[in-house]
Amino acid sequence: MKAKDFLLNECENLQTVLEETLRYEYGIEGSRVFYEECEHRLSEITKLISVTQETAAPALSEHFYKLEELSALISRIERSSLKEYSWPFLEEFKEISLSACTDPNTTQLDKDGNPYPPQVHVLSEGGLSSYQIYVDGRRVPSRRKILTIFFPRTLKHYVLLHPILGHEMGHAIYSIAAHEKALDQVIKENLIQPSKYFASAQNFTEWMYRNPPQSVKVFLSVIEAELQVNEQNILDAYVDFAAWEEEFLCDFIGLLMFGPSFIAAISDLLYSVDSSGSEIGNFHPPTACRVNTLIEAANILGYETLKFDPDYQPVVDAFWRSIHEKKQGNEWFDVFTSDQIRETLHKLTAFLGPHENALYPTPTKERVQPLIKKLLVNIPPVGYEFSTHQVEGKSKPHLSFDENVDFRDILFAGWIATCNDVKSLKFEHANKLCEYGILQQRAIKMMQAQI
Amino acid sequence: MSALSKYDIAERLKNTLTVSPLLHENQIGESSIDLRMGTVVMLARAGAQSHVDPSAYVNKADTNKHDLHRKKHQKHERFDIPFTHPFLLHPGTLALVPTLEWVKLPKNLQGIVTARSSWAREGLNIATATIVNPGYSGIITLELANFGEIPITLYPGLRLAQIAFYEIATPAEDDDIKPSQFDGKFEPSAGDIADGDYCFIPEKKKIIS
Repeated sequence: MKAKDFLLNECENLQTVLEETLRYEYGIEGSRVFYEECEHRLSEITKLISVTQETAAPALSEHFYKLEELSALISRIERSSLKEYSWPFLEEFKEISLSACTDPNTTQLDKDGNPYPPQVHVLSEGGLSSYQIYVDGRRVPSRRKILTIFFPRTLKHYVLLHPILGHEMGHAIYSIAAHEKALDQVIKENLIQPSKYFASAQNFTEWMYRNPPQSVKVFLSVIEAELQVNEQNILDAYVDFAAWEEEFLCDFIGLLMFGPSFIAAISDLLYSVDSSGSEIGNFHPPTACRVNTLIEAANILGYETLKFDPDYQPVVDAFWRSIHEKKQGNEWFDVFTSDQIRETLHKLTAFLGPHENALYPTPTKERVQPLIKKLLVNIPPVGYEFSTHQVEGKSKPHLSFDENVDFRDILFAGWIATCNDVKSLKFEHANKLCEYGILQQRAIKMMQAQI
Repeated sequence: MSALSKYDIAERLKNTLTVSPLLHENQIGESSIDLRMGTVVMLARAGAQSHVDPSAYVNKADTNKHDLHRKKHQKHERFDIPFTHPFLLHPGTLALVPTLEWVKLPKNLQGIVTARSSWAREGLNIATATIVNPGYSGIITLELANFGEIPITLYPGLRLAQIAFYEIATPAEDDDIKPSQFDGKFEPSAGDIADGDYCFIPEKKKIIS
């Protein structure tokens, strides 16, 4: 077969494989959207190949890669079964993220004239570092984006750690051309350019090499010995600073989307990879710089000043103590000032604000404390209270519901409850209670909507 | 031992008894609370075992970990059924389903789970393990069976069962309460049907509890 015929044959193979995906249950909304989107892409690629000359090698090569990407996407569906992840969490997550991930400039509109929202599908595979959201390439002939969320296989039901996806959602939002420029501007103007360490290459290398902590010195000497990275070439040969900027941006987006549970989750995971917090990554700033920045951001957002009743304040204080224990005391890691962080938060809040539910509403005692109370007595946390009123001397039941309880409140309460002094509530059990609470809260919302 | 009335149940729900969440006041009947279907279904896997045999729960000394765990995991097929999605229960099928509600009983209350009569008249049976012991905490597993001749479509969230409460005159002391093998569970699992009766099963020796 010639190259063009081979690719057309592969199109037919892909159609067959796509039909086979219909055997699987791979999402709460069923298979139609995914199937139709993939069929649309396949049809578009087939048309492109059909009109390409056999001699147009570069064009055929590009079509080959488009087919390969579609093939990879379709093959993932077979490992994306409903029982392999926490679907109640995912449904809540979609509600806070899809608006911001919809490309406002797409020319592909639905019958009502609106951009198609992205389709989300999920894989639980890989180890601890496999949390990510894969977004289609920009050149894919698509009607809608397909976001593939990866959970670590071992953590597929660990909803308390899933707020890390807020950071990954930042990458997904940044990948949309219409948002990239605006977000770049926010980070550069408010965080990077005013920073005394990052404003120029010279500032960066002085920060990195003049007076770093001992743990950083050790790391720098290792990469110098092994990779010949030094003060003169670190920004050309080792650090991709644009990637660092994106990491800081995505940390802020994760915090604004998920609130305190984001800091708890990401700091636990990052320090598990780099316990000193000092590793200089090609694409990632040192963990301690990121965590210190997030702790200051949480302070600015007023999360720590939220007061609870005396019975619950100690466990809340214990939670914040556990967060502050992760803050590195050496000022070298404090790469941004409070004003720079405040201004960045302000601008990103304005960016996310128009996207429905994207911002985590400032937590209140009324929403969060009842959830902590339930968790501490081993009950899934939901916005539901039982009471009675007396009628002719008899106790009549009265149910009250807080429909404003957000799944992010449940996650915040879950993290707090794991910091109880007696440690009677183990992390794994608190996590399961929270996962069940998120499920029950959906049922409450459905019933309240019916009533 | 006396049954609790609606008013007694309401008083207990304020303090020591938990059935959470109740989605509507009509869930509390004259002497019981309705329980809703949860979102997981465990079905016996076709071909996984030829018959039920207590000796399968008692391990030969040479049984290795792989065989032991494989047997356990092969027994049931697990399905997640989101809200508004149907689950078809065929005649003669047994399905293990959790309640949506989380239940915590104090030491002086026993729960008895039965089918709601309206469903029972359609052939739906909430099978036989009806007693929930004092001190239990967790979801309750409903053993659903279709005794009718045509399939029944079920949806998570529907009120399929009911639990009545009986006061225990002399509650057991903490030291005397043996934790149930199902305590604190979030979804159904197979139980050990040979638990404590190994002496009646010949030439088998329990090595793993």
